[in-house]
This record gives sequence, C-alpha cells and structure tokens, in this order.
Amino acid sequence: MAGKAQVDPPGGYEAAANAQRLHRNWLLSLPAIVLLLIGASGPLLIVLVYSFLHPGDYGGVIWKPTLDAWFKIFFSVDIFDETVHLADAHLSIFWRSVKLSLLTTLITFGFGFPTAYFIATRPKSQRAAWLFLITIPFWTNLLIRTFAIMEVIRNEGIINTWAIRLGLIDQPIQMLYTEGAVLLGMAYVYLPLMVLPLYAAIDRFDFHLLEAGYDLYASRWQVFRRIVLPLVSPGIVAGSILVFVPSLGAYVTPRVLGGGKKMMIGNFIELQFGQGQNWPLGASLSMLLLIVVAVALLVYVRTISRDRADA
Amino acid sequence: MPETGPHTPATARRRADFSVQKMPGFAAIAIACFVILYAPIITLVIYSFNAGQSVALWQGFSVKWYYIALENRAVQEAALRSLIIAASASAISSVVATMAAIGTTRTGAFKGRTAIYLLINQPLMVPEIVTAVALLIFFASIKVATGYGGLGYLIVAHAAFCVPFAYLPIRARLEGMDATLELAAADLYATPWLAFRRITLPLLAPGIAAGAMLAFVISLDDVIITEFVKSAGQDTLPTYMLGQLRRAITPEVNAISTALLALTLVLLSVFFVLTRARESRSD
Amino acid sequence: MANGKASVAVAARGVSKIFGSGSNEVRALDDVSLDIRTNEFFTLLGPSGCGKTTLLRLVAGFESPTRGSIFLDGEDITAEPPNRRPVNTVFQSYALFPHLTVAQNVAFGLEMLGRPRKEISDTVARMLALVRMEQLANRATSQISGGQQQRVALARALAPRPKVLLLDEPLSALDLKLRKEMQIELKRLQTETGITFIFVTHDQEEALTMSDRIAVMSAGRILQIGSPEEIYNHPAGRFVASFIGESNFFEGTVHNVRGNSVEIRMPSGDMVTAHSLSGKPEGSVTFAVRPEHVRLEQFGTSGTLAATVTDSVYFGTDTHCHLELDGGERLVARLQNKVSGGPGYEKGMRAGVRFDDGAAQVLAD
Repeated sequence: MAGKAQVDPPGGYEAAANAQRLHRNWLLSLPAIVLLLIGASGPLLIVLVYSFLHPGDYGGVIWKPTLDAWFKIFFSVDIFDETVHLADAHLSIFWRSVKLSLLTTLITFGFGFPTAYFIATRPKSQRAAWLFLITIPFWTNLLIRTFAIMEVIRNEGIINTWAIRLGLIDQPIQMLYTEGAVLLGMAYVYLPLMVLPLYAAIDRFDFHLLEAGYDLYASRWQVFRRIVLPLVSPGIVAGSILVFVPSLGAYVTPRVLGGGKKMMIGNFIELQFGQGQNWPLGASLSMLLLIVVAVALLVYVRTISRDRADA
Repeated sequence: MPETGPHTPATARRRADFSVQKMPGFAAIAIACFVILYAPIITLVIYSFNAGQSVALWQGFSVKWYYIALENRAVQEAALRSLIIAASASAISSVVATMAAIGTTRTGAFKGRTAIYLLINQPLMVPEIVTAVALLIFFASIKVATGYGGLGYLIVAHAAFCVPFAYLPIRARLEGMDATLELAAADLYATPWLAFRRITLPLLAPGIAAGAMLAFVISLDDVIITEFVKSAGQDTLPTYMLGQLRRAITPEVNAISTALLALTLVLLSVFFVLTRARESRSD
Repeated sequence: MANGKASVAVAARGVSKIFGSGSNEVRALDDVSLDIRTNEFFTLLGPSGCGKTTLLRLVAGFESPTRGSIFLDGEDITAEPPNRRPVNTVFQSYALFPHLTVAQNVAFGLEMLGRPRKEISDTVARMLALVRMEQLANRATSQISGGQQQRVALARALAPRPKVLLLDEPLSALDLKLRKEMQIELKRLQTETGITFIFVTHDQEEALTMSDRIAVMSAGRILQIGSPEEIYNHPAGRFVASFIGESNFFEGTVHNVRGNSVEIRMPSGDMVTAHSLSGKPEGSVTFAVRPEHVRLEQFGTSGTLAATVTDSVYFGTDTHCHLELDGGERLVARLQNKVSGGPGYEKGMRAGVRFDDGAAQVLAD
C-alpha cells in the first residue's frame, strides 16, 4: 500500500483542510472586521461605558461610576425638596417617538401594500421599470427629500402660497414645525423601505393560489384576508421593522420639519451632546434606543426563521 | 339545452376576463403613491430654475442659482470634500467587502461566520444617531490624544457604514457564480491565486463595481454621522445644506439638491446596468 | 333538458378564445361546441397549446370566452365569476395553501360557502377518508409527498360537492408508478362520488384507460369526440390517427363504396378494403392501418401486398418489422413474439403483407 508510507495529519486530511479554510476565511474577513470595529461597533462599547459615568461640567465625563444617567432617563429629582418625579419631559419625547414611528409604519403600510401589490402584478417586462421608480427615491438623499416636503408645506411654500393666491385662505396655515409635518415627512421618506420588502414577498407569492381560492368560492376580500395576507406576512413584518427602526431613531426629518419643538429621541440624544452638555445621559438614551431596536430585530429574525421552518 | 348560436348578440361582444390578481382600489392607491413620491422632488427641481427668490412662485426660467451656488466658496469646498470622502470610502469599503465576501460566501458554515455577518451588517441595524454619538465620543478622544484633525475620521466612519452596501451585491454575484469554474481552473493547473486573478475576479468585477457605486451614493448622502464626526470647517454638501436651513431659503439650496440628485441618478443607472448585465448573463 | 337520452352537465356553444390582439393574436379556441354528459369521465386530449387547458379554464371561470357561451346544467354561466360557479378544480400544480394544514385546505371551500361548523368537520373527515389521508389531517402541506398532495388537492376540490370536477393534468407531476395508481384511484373516486369529471391531459394512454369519452383537440379545435375504442379503432383524421397510438398511412383512389365499406385501389394496382366513418368518400383518399393490425405471410400468397423487410427490431413482447411495399410505400408491422423467439423475418427478406379485416380506416383529411 503506497498510502501507508505517509503519516496522516492529526485528525486526518479533512480536519486539516477545514482548519486551513477557517484560517483563510477569517484572514480574508479581517480588514472588514477591523474597519467596522473602529468605525462602527467598537465605539458603541465606549457609549455603554459612558452611560455609567458622571457628566463633566462642559461636556465629556468624569470617570466615576454611577447609575445616575440611566435613572435620569425616566425620573427627575426636585432640586428643592429632593423628591423623585417621573421625568415628564423625557417621557413625552419617548411617547412622541413611539407614537410617530407606529403611525409612520401604519401609513407606509396602507400606501405601500397596494403599491407593492400593483408592481408585483404588472407584466414581467414592466416590473423592473416600476420598481426602479420606487428605488430612485429610496437612494435619493434623505435630506433632499425632507427638504422637498418642507418646501411644499412651509408658510411661504407652494401649498400656502397658491391657496392664498386662489383666495382659499387669508393667512398661511402653519403646517411646518408640527407633529403632523414630522409624520408626513417620515412617511414620505420611509415609504420605499416598506414597499421593497413587501414587493419581494408578493413577488414570490404563487398567484395560482388565488385561482384556487376563487375556485373554492372565496370572495375578493376573503381571498385577500385568508390567502394573500397570511402568505406575505414575513414581508409585512420585514417592511414594518425596516420602517419602524429608522423612524424611532430619526434625526434629520424631525429636526427639519419639527423644528426644535417636536423633538424625537434622536434629537434629544443630540441635545445631550450639544447644548445639554450631559454626555452620560445622551449615552444611556442611545443604549436604550439600541435595546428597543435590538428587540424589534429579534422579533423580525424569529418571524423569518419560523417562516423558513414552515417552508 | 338551449341551442344558442355563436352569434347571438349577448355573446358576440368580447368579455373581459375575470382577473384573478386584481384587488379593487389597489391600482389607484399605487398611482397616488407614485405621484406623492415624485411631486415634491419634481417641484424642488423645477424651482431650482426659478429666476426669482421664491421657491413657490414662478418668476421665469433661469440657471442663475446654479451660478450662485458654483461661485459660493463654501459650496465649492463642501462639494469637493463630499467627493473626496465618497471616493475614498467607496474604494476602501469595496476592497474590504470583496475580501470579506470571498471569505464568507460559498465556503460552507465555519466558526464565527454568523459573528462576521452581524458585524458587517451592523451599520444597517444600529440607528445612525447611536453610531454617530459613539463615533463622536471615540474620535474626540483620539483627536485629543494624537492632535490629528483631518478628513481621516470622516473617511473611516463613511468607509465603515458603506461596507454592508458594498458587500451585498458582491456576495449576491459570488453566490450566483458557478463554483466549478474555479475547480476547472485548478484542474488546468492554475494556482489558487491565479485562479482568483484570471477567473474569479473578472467574473466578480460587475458586482464589485455595483457595490462601489452604492457605497459612493450612500457616503455622498450621509448627514447624521458626518454632522457628528466633522470638525469645524469640514462641511460636506449635505451638512452644508442642513446648516443653511436656519437662514432664509433661496433656490440656491434647490440648485445644490438638484445637482446631487442628478449625480445620484447617474450612479444608480450605472448600478442598474451593471446588475442587469449580471442577470442577463446568468440566464 | 332538451336532450332526452342523457342529461348534459356542461355545454359549450360556439366558444372562441382569442388572446392578445393585432399581430400578437393567438386563437386558443376556435368555434368549439360540445356536450359533456352528467356523471361521465370526460377527457380533453391534445398536445400542449391545443386549447384544452383554455377550455377547462373557461368552464372554471378564470377566463371568459371571446365569443360563445358556457352552460352548466342548461344554465348560461358565461358571465359568472369563478367563485360563484359550482365547479371545482384540481390544479396542475395542486395550488395547496401552504399556510394551512391538510384538513384546513379541505375545509376552505366549505368555509367560504358559510357551511355550519359541524357539517364542515364531518365533510372534511369523510373526504380525507375517501382519499385515504385521515392520518395526515394536521400535517402542513409542505410535509407530505407529491402523491399525498395530489390526494389533498382532490379532497379539497371534492369537499364542496361540485357539479363538475375539473382536473388540469393532475398526474403530470407524479412518477410513473404513482401515476398508474392515481389513474385507478381517480376512476374509483369518479364512480363513487358520481360527479362529472372533466380531465385534461396530453397523455393518450391516460386518456384511453380512464375516460368514458374523449375529445381530441388540436390548434383550438375539437377533431373527434368518442369512446376510447371509437377513437382508437376509427380515428377520423390523420392527426387523431397519429396522435393516439401509431399508424401507417397509405394513399389510394376509391373504386367502390358499399355502406361503410370502401374498396380502394392502391397506386400499385392492389385492392384494399377499408372502413369509412361517415359520408361517401370519392377520388383519392388516405387510409390508416395500426402496426399491430398488419400480418406478414409467405411472399406471393394471394391477396397480400408484395413487400421487402428493410429492418427488424426486437422489443421483447413484440418485434417491429419495417417494410417497403413494391409500390414504394413504407410501413411498420408489430408482430407478437413467441417463446421460440421472433417472427423470423430478417432484413432483406421478401414477404406478403395483409391487413386485418376492418383494420384499414379511411381518413377524412
């Protein structure tokens, strides 16, 4: 036997090849890992640490551990009698963030589902073009799109100017710097994020099932409720998460359309690093936001994997 | 059985088929959606050509706001800075993303692959404001420690969040590639490096170009991270525009927006041509 | 019912279906009329693109005819949407709802009809028993085999007790063994339920074994309707003769007609007696003979056609003898093999060809 002369490596050739492959794959991924650790993930750890420190007088931190920043997210201490209250100002900002994000998700779903369905049911040759029409706004600068909305709704904007010219109103209606403006803007900028995953789900949908549904005496509504909706639900979850997550952390849109008044969490965090000069509070708020987003993503991953298991 | 001939009036007309896919009202909402998506952008573009100061009243066609924007030193510098950062970030992220894609695609599961996936896709998951805050803190301490205050911070930050955008098209292309091609090359005496150079890389090129294109667009559009990481006097076009919001709005901002929009559109079209070529070739 | 003999379940009158328009116009059905009797197993047979599936979809209501009408139990249902037609379909792809279990799939139609809960569960149990799927009632449809999916699709379509069951090539996705089993199963179900089946297939063997009557279709038209025996033994035209089974074709001129019996003179001068389905053929005609109805005898036997064996291929059960008549026509004879071996005609040998009585069939085209 010629093979007997050679000594097998420990664990055999297969194990050696696997070890080599593992080595190669990690080596190839290393530059990306280093870049992301420096430029994205690593600094998150610093934020976590900062959230347990005392604020410095003019920004920065004092290296003394405390839970103060986490406590201050929800409670405030009266300077005079030292009684503890719920931090109403903070809570109203959280409430606004959650409320506007949920509403944004609902509105984008209401408009996005028929749109995605419409695109998915176009003839194959047209679909790419319709999809491209959705993708252009998706890749267009968020600031520019927010800006476009602002120009439409502000007091000197196109709606007010023309309404006055046509004699419909005497005074411009204040639309900018309201919650409604923020909601409109967010629904506008995040709509493509809802349409794209919904389209992907509906596109995979087997339309023969609709024939089977009608054949078995279902009405249009029943076909929609009992067959279409349940089968594209992974796409609905995906779209909702994709809209809800950035809405919750929105910064540009509420800043431009809500002004300083209708703040959301993102603006509130920024405030702590700017005028507020309370870096630990900003850090703890960031971590809180991160936790909420992580929970949402977990829900998403579980829905997807359950769906995969079914298939 | 009624003996109905084929040409009775009731049946002679051509009936519409029962449409299985149709849902009442969906088409109307969809069309409304497209109108709503485009109307504000188109308005913005139109008023960039307005001769007057207003962004609501049309006072004649003019390209004067483009001249004004072009001659504005701050705009010139911001534009140049945007392009430098976008080009650098796009180049860096596509190189590291290509390597990572080769390391994580078509190799089967290996220890730590999920961790690498998570890390690469992290910028897509973590709210940008959180990353921006983290980078602000991190880079501030490095600035103090090293005294360096150049564009490097912005380039690193942009390159990092561009990685997933560069990674995904490259990975998609790799997954669609026939694995036996490299085996065939090896069978024909190519070393692994030669097989990569002569077979994998040329086939991967459209994917890499598409990824680089997306990364460029994403970097060019970034507001939040740039706003937090930049030092004084390091405005990019988007942060410059954000700063302008506090002042009276003139069509100059529309002109800058339109120019950015046009650039994005060109890059996107190139991206779609590249990915389209991929689809048709794999058919 | 105007028709006295057997009541008609489904009727089509002057039905045409045109897809597209202008230069893209495709005439999927061209002035089709037919009657399908109550309780019969009726098969639409033809190659792909012949219009058989379109006709089925017109009956189901997924498509509307460009011209003409569809009747169900004498009632014009042409304008009815599919969800208001008491017919159900077994789809080629089965189209089982992937998010519902086996039992939920079967219950779907009954739920849509708003039947009471008790009735639904009883019917579902009965249907699952009928197709022998009781054990798998709570399985997901993705967890059962192709043959089982087929049974669920059948049970689902039968559960609302439709007046007509439409089957669109339901066996095409199954492997050969399973397909044979399901053929028997389908026939059993049809007999047990007494529901009219309209079965679409391109498989002639499937059509011959299962059907009460067959309609052979080509290019949007119905070429012949009849029992399997009629279709096989007396094909009306060249297409039917070659699509169902194999045939040898010959040309000749009509010499004499007596009833259904036609004497034909072949170009070589030999006379052949053929059977004609209808009309009084005259002039030059084509006739067909099945390969298994060709006999070989000693060369020179009177009443035989002189031929040379050009090839002989052994097939186990039989041997295919390729022959050339002295008149130049080529034909194949399928000869039964015996224990002792083949029929003993080798390449190059001379032989006399005889057609079985009634085997030669005059074709309409």
